[in-house]
Amino acid sequence: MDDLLAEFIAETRETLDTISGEIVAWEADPGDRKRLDAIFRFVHTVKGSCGFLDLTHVQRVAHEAEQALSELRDGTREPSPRLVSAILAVIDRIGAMVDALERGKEIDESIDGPLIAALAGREDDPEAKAAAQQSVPEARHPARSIRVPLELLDRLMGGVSDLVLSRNELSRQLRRATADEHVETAFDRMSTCVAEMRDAITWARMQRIESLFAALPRLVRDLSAELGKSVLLEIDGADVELDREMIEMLRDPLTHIVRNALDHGIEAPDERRAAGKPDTSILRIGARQSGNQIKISITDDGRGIDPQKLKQRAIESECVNPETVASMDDDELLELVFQPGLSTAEAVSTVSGRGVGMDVVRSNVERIGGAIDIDSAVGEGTTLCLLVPLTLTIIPALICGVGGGRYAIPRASIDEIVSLDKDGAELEAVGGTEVAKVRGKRLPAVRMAALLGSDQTDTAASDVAEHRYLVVVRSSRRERFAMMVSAVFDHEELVVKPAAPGIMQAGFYAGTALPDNGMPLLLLDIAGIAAAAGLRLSMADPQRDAVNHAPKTGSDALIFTDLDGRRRAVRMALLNRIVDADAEQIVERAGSLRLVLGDETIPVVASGDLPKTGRVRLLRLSDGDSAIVYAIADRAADVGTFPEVYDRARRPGRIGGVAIVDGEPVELLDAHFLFGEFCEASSTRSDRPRCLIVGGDDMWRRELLAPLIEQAGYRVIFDESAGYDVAIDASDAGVDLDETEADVVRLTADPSPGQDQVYRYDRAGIVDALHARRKRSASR
Amino acid sequence: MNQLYLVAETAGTCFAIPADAVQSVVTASDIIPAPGAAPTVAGIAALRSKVITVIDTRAAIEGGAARVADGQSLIVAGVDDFLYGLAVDDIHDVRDHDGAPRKLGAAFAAGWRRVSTGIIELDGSAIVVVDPAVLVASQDSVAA
Repeated sequence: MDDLLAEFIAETRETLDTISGEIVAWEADPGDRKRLDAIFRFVHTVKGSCGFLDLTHVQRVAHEAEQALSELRDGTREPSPRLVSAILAVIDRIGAMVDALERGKEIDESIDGPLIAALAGREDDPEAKAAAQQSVPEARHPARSIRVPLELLDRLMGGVSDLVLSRNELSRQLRRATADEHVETAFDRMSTCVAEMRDAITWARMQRIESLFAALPRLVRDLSAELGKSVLLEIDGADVELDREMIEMLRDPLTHIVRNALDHGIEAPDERRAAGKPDTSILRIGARQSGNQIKISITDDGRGIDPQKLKQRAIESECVNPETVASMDDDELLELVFQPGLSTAEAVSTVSGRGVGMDVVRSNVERIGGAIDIDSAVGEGTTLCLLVPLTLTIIPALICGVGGGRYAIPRASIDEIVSLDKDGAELEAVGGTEVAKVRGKRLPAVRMAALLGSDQTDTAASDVAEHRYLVVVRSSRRERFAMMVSAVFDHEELVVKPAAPGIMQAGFYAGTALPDNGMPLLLLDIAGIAAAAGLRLSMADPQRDAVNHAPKTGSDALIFTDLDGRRRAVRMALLNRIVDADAEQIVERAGSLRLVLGDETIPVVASGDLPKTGRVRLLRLSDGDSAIVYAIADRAADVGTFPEVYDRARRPGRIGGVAIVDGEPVELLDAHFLFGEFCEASSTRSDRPRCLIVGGDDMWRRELLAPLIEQAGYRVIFDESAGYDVAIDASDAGVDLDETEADVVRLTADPSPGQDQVYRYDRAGIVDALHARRKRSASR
Repeated sequence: MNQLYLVAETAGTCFAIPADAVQSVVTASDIIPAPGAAPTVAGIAALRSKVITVIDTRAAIEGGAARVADGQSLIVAGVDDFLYGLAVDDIHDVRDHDGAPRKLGAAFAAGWRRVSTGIIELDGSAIVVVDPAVLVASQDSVAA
């Protein structure tokens, strides 16, 4: 809440600064419609923000000013000099109140009564006159945080990138020269500093879209309470990263859209009931990266927008030519929502509904090179889609080789990578074109070398060399096809910048990037490639379905290279996703390696030495409830069929067995064992066997013994009467239990225990003995 | 009014670029081709932490495919938020010239006519003034 308030103060002050010029100009010419609109929008925004920050007093003043301005806009009122100065006084007043808010002072509300009276038109009231002419003392409080222009951040970012490149160059030179320990230490320290600085700058520019969404639950809660509606907010994709500038630019549009959805889109509970809908409506907000854009969708299940009603409104408000409107179809009519001065709301409320909003929303989104789409069905709801460009967002990409060149493919669009040398993937010539067959599924194939013009020597030999991998991609329109590339190198996070028009005219580039090695890369645009290759992608679908009916011979598996260099396989169904993490994100805590990801920590399985720096590739495996990550080597992984026949391992362990895949031995991970080993038995489970501890020193059994027993998977109880599965006698004396002797583990302080006794610091001994007793008692 | 010009040479002809459009002059190396791009685009290259688009001035003026060899000089100029490296055969000098370029009625070859904004006189010989913004623009409209 404090964040929101600070944000509001900074924003209002900033807008006040820019708008003060407009105000003076408007004062000189009150008929100036454009300036009037700008002032109106400012007051409207302040009113809206105050509404959800619960600053009712400021809101009321702003509302009155808005009312007066609205009448001025409609022409129902003439801009008399007194009214103008009253409005100006209100704007000054807003500035003063913002200052008071920042200093945490009480707002003096007494002087606002006359001010409101002046606005309301009682111009003869002497008090009102005085209030309108009163000037506000300049007492601006110095701001506690500074707003840094993004150009400065850009320059910093550029400078740091230069620094990284020259550091790399220096490191190359150092390696060539004779090694001096002191120089190397100093260089290492500098490297660390540079890396830290770069992270800081990158971080300064990038934000998870979460920070944009963070204010929404509160907004929705407050608004729905105010409107008497019941709304459930669902947020998805909060971890999508977006440039800070983008987030700032999206904040207002998103707030406006949500307010509109709640105020107009979603019906009151009784209306919903009448329409046969559940009382609680659902507002879904989601963000995802889609190709080279970020897509934010806001969907409500409210009453929807009636295009005919919009049409009528548009004609009434005379903001659109009636003849043009008459010839519009429904989709075009919906677009009218974005017309300035048009509102479908029946009544003007303090929440929204003055027709400012959607036009502002659209102009804000378009200013950052984005687009906004509306889709609505009467009675079913409305969806607004914001598409904002990827520019300056960091995207993970796969670097592929085509001919002699290297290109980046956005990883979001990659489904899988298969090798043509191996089984399961081949090329078929069909009707003068080529089709890739990947595990029985046919996909259109694009020869990247031919498309990118590096296929100079068209011989069979180069054909083999040039097309060794198929990268199966999916474009934003959900079309799948395979791209033939000659090599698959690396995964890298790239800062993508737009490419010059001369390059973009090729139609299949999304931008340029400069990775750490200093060699620029072109990022491929998947949809563009599909278009350039002239694929008729939808044609592939029926065929694929037919193949799908063939009986499956086994489940899919991911075959990868482990940290120790061995080829291993894991069942695809267990694989959640592949995560690339910084080596620093993996820490040793509580005796095991853990990956810190956002606010969760996940156990890490490593079968070899983890790299100390740089990136670590991890497989995120899930058993439905809990997750572990499995560190693998950063090399290409293939999707294959999980072998049905394999030699089982001789004893249970991480490796369940070995099979021959493509003539190579591949070890199969025993996921069951892994989860057993790495996922703590969840402490909430009630079906764990109960272990009774009796006798001995109370401190010792509670603080030292009990945790060990808990860890071994038992629930510890101290009360004999509660019923138990096994028991530990921690006294050296031999407590009498009405249980067979065999079920009791007897501990002793004697390091050389007698028969049927266990030394009390023999951890493994205690646990083994417990398990043995448990098994015996269970089998009876 | 004085104006500084960078005098360079391409295809045996000298030309001048207003110096305020020029950021620096670098030597071409490691140019990554961009297949499918405009014919004048030789590729992209790294300039410190930025990516520049390398334009072959010979191809832009005379037509044909862009070909830039390592070691050629690149005039780095910014046009519309993008940085370009204009590959030339040689860089001669930075010269001061008094007065605006004059329009020349004479019939330049089509390529030169497109990219030039006029001529200036230096040491008694006339030199074509080239506008980098036109030089980097796509040539499609001319070809048509």
